[in-house]
Amino acid sequence: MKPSRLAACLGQVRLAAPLMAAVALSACGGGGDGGGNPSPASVTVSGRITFERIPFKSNGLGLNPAAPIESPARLVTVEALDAASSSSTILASTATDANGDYSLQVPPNRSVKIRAKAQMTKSGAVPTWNFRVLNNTNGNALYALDGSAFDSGTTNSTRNLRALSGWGTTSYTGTRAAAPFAILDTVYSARSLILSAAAATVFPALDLFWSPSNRPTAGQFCTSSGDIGTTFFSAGGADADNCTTGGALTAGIYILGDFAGGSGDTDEFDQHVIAHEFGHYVENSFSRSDSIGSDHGGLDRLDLRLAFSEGWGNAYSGMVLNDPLYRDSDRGVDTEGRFNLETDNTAMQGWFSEFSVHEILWDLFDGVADAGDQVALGFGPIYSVLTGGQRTTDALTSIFSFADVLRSANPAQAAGIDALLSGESIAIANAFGDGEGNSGGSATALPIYQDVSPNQPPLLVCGSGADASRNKLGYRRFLRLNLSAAATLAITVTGAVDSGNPGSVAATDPDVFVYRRGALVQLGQGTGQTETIPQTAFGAGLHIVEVFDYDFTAANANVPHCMTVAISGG
Amino acid sequence: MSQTRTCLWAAALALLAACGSDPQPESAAAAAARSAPAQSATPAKEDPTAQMARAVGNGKPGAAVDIRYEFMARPEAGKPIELQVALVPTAGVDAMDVAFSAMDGITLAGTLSASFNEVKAGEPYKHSISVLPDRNGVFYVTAAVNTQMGGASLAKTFSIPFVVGAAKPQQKPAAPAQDAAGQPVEPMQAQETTG
Repeated sequence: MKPSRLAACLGQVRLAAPLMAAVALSACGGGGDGGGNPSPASVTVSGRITFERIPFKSNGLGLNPAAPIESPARLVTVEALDAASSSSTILASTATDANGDYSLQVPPNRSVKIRAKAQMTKSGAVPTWNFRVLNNTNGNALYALDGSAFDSGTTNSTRNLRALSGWGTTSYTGTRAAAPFAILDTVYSARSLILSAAAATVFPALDLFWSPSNRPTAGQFCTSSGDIGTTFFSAGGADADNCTTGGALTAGIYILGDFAGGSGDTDEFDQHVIAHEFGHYVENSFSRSDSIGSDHGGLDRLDLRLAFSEGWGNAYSGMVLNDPLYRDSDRGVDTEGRFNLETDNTAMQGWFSEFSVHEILWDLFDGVADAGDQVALGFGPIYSVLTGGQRTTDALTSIFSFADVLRSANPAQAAGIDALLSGESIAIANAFGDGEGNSGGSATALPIYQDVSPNQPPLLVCGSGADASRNKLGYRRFLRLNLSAAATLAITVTGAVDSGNPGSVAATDPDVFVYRRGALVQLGQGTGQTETIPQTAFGAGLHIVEVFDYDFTAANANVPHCMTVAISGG
Repeated sequence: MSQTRTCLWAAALALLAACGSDPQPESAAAAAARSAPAQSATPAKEDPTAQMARAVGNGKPGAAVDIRYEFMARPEAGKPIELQVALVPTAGVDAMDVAFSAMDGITLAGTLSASFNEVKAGEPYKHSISVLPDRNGVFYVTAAVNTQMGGASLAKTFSIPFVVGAAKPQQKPAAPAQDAAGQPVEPMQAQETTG
């Protein structure tokens, strides 16, 4: 305050006490920078964070980048940064609401910029989550959308930030800032569906890795260079083949982004694709999947574990978006692959088909009654099974184990559930699929499980496949070993010809794995015609013994590879 | 196999196994090695420690097709070479088509798209194109495959990598910027409006 103004003020009111003088200072409109108003303690900066979503065309010909839809960036972290400090000190932080709106209190008269991070985070009271979109080809940097520096002044202001798609006329010409936020927006929807069934969910942290360099490279895998093969989820772990030097594969969802001049495969706007992978995260976090992963295509006859996991991913994507039409753009933005969860695909039906699984799961979920579908459970009962009985089943996770628990939990719907199974040529059976008669054309797929006991004559089993794929129907064989009490056992698997099948061959390199409720408890994968798990303590309960011949090539895949399994001890 | 030929046969779809998902993970490199004609008939056993990293790890649904490819000569700048590609559909594929394209620095010639009708599972469907790199470096040819099966349409794109000239040692990229909390960040400029 200027001295002359202070003197005048004091003279008018004639207040002697210092405290009262101070009050007078205020009353006389002093303070501030001479403009006549005091500086407020803070000012409000508010606005909306949005991104451009590139929608699909209505005609099935890929994406329409010429007509982006401005969409709210929901629940993303927003920060006010001190633009004058070299370290960009965070002055205030908040999250957008469901409309993308935010509001921050910042100091007045400060150089500030607004930053929206490609991150959704909530800690403290449940539910909690932390989802981030990182660039795996740039040191796992978190994508951040920045506004320009401005003076916060002494009055409230509005700063709206929009993440542009970067699309020019015929290709991407600018920074593809919308991509991380589009990915996160699908996560928002996927998260919401889980919360609709379990409001107190604590989501494990999930990173989603996207880069405009992420490409479907054939024959090499290196996440830091963008050679990711395809869009996928991994729970992480050691991976000696991740880049030439080897190393760990960080858990998360890896997403294709290489436009490749218009011929690449980008997935940031393919919501079903992202939701599908989030479905695998859900399995891994809250349910259980015994899937062995690897290559799978639409009408493949798959290992039953893989078939269920992929069918679940497909169905979950439709549930998240409430849209049964799965769409995946490719060739830049010009074309798309698609299938409809609601369409009964009769070309390949059975417990080994991911299409059969997703058709059943979708029909259980949706409210549309169509031929053979008189069930409309919604998401809650499905999720309840996944987080309940499916986690603890003694069987391998499959459509059989799922249906068994679902039927028990919803007896009034049992007939409808069974009708859906029958409609896909799947037996109405127990969790193990006992009695299933649909072999899918495989000579070695049935029975799905055989029982084996200690100190019994060796059991002959055979596996085969239509090709050398190791995750297809009939290659891996499953045995039930039910132990009423803990036991010390040895398991010996030996290649042997099936005397009743002159076309069979003796396995030359059998391997054996033993599971208890999905957890691997023992394995033997040495070389040679005999594989042995030496005397080992096994707990009580039902164990699944999996055997197959590792020496399995395209030339000999369709021939039954046979072996005997003997268990000794007690 | 001739030493002058660069053979890069790959079972590309096995890449998914590199995602740590398979109890018996089959890496891309291992898969490629097992597919390579010059490799030993007895593949190496898998890393048993990887068993313990069992993960859900599955890729997105895609066309049920594998790709194998072979450059018929060592790629050199300024010299066109033939790239042979074989597409191998699996069960259920009724028909498929493929389109080839290239990045800056290479020129493709020949018939850059092909269609195959009434295909049979496991049969290789071959196609050749000419590839002309104009400089040394790491390049990719893109093969975009679309399949029709049982009324569904599924696509899969493959980036076929190759190196022209001596491979340069990779330079360590600059570390990304960090925010005040030490989090690496990649800033992107927003379109901003005020009120």
